Amino acid sequence: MTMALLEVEDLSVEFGRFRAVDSVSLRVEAGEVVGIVGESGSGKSVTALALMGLIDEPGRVTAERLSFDGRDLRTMPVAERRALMGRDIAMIFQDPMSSLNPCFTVEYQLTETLRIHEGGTRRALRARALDLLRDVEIPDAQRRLDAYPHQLSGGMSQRVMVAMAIACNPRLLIADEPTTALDVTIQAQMLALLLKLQRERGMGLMLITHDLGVIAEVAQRVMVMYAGQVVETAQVPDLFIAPRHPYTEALLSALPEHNIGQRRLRSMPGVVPGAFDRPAGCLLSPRCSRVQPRCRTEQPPLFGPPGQQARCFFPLTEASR
Amino acid sequence: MTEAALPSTAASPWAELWRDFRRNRGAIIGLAVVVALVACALLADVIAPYSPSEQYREATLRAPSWEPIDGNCFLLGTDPVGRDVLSRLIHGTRLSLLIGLVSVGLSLSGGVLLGLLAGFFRGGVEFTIMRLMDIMLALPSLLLAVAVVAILGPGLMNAMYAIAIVMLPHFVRLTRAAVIGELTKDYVAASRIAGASTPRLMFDTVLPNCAAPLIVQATLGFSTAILDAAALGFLGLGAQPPTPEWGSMLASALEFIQSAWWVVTLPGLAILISVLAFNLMGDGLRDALDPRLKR
Amino acid sequence: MTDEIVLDAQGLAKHYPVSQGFMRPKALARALDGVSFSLQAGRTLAVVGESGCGKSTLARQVTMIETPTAGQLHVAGVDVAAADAPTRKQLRRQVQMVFQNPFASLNPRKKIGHALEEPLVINTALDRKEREERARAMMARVGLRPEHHQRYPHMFSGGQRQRVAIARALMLRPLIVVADEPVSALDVSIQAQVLNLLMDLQEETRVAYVFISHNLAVVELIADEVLVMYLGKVVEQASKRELFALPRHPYTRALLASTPRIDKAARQARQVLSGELPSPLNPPSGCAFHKRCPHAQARCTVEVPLLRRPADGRTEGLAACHFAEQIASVP
Repeated sequence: MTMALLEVEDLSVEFGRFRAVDSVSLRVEAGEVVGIVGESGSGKSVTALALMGLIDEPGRVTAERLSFDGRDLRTMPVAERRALMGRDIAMIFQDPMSSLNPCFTVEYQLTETLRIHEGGTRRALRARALDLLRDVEIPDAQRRLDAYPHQLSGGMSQRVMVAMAIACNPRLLIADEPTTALDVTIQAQMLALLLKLQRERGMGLMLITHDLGVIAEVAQRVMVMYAGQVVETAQVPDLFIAPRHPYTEALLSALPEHNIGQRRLRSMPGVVPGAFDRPAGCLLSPRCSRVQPRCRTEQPPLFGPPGQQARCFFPLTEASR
Repeated sequence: MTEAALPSTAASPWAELWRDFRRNRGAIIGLAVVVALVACALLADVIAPYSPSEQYREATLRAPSWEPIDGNCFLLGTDPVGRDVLSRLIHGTRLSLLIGLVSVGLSLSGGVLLGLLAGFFRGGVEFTIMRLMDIMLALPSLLLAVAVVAILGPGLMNAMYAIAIVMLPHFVRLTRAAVIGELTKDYVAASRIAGASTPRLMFDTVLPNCAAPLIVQATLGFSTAILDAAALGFLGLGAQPPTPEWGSMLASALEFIQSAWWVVTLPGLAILISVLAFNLMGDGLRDALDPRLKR
Repeated sequence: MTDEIVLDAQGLAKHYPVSQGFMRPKALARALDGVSFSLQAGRTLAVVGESGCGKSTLARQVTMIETPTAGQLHVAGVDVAAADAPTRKQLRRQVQMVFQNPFASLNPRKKIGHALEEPLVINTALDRKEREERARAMMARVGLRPEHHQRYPHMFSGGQRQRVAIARALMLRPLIVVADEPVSALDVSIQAQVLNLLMDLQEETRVAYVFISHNLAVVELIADEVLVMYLGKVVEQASKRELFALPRHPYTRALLASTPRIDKAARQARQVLSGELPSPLNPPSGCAFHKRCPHAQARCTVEVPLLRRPADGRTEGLAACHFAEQIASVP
């Protein structure tokens, strides 16, 4: 594979003086599942929106490189970019209840993407919509086509959204917290569905979530974000077996499943810095248990070969674990 | 949702409201004019050059001019019986604002109470109240006002009651809708679990959260009240002469629209400016309150 | 030290009439259909289930916001239904609640101090100074700073708001706190802090928790007893240890299998459950779970299974499944 599907280098998003996303680089190959993990305030959703060109004024998006399939997204004319969105790159969002337009039927919304990018007669479009609903395994698809979003459950609505996203056979699917609002059994169904679709269609899948368990089950590569910066990148099993960055380690040790039998959970004190209280040095320094004087004054860059990086002067090694 | 630490300034909702309001230039202009009107009303006795009811027989129907007539300077001219238009307008401010305050005040209190009852108790209580309001809304507002005044008798006070009654359904509907929306929220359940009684829930817990649309409606209600009072005055059902109410000033001078334009136009202009000012202010408030709710 | 029973429920049921349209008879949504449990002081009962299972309805019955259609509820030994108004007011003080959504559970127009003092204003005769002292003491206890007393909710993060909500629930020193998904909306690191806080407070005050959650990992950590609910009924009821070591009901197993896990070894055979929760207005005949159950037999479509102790004696807990004994032997 010579050219990655999506190549991002040094992407930054600023709102006034606040940097919501700070020099993020990533790449997604076709047929690959890449996870972006982070808590609130990490900038992961803003990154996805920036990739889709959905950041409005007063946000400013800058990047050293932002290309999809070799085409530069930064300099692309608006009409061309719009043709790309929804067709080659698609996105699904967290809350299915507010992502679907309550005024229109499922059929209308499903066929909207098709109409814009491909066109066709009403009957042909309806048949396509029916196929799509079957692809996302919605039972009783015929009836659901004529339903309105409020008549669907959370899981159903999410499936409709996935159907809308894959309607034009995108090469890259960005999923922003696709399972967070769903019940756990429905979550499992949704993940299985996403994986199935991804394998069948050879899509690249960028999965954004705060749930490390989901990443462990689904992703091949993962990027951990904190307060707008990438703090660690790794292959999936490695991140969980041998995390390099103290934040990743703290996240893992705070999980309930890693504290069974303990009296208390190992928790990190403090909160994610917001716009007004960013530390001078490493952004994690006020909370890090392994902080050194250097961390408080200097901002660490990303160390390590691409794909196995950690933004820390004193990353965890075998000895220090 | 952000877990990040938030700024340490403890701005109250009012301070934030003012900050958002300030951004809207039209709203600030509206507010400035309203403040000027209030100043006029409060200081009418001081700033009006003459008494509003004093008739200067030697200077009837004089055009606005800088030149004094027998030592009296009528900057905006005089009306058919020689009263200074400027002084009458200034004193009229007092009346218009009073009309706005009383009508809106009565309507708001009554409307909020009925809306709270309808929203909290639902069932039969809600049905009765809302159908009554529907009936009131089905009647053209001016006709309703005229009907009320016909029953109570002409006069400024009765006109204010009539206007209050006409505005009532709007406040009731707004309050009820807002209350029903708030009742589903967790913080109301939390107060209930803490043991709050229904009156406390109504007035202390829920009502402050319904304030936004009510404030906007009240501000816009001011301008409606002024216009309605002017209409009633125009029909001879509101303020009676020699009260310097702008509407009745218009009514009594219509015949002079060609010969002495200032007697008709200037009160009309006063109404226009006041209504515009309140509307701008009300719009500004609505914009300032909305984004905050969206945030 | 005998732990007295602070909360006892027998056959709690709540049915909501739902209008089906003009002139048509009302349908009955059986949101809660016969739930029984007892809770001791200082212990935690976890209620597990997905949306629509009736856990929120249960919370509303226990906190006495609503009256149950059937069944009995005893708080600190007192029968709630038979209590007169002053007694009910007393009982209300004993059961408080923490809500799921930290952004909706605090009154946006009131300062935090006011929110904390409100229960005291309503229920006690303390003067202003005493109330403020108690509020400040509680704030310090949950990890808030003194200057937060005069701030409005929108100035706080989700985790801080939950701390306020927990503080408010404890102001009246209740016997029982119903926590409805208190950490579901929080980030992992904040979740850990808040869970630690809840456990510390329980140790200190001996308060009993009814902990509603859909997150089995959290439940495994914090619960003593677990109640698994499906469509208004209890399908399994066991001690935490037993439930996680040997789940008896197919739904419990499905829940455990569906939870994403990091450790590969902990991940059980991926068994993705098909279908969705049926509508409470039109529950399936027989066992409510039979349409989605991988082990369903003919009997399951006709006969409603009773909540019983499986006959093989391997566990003490209860399960509502005709084939609980057979299923346990399947890995």
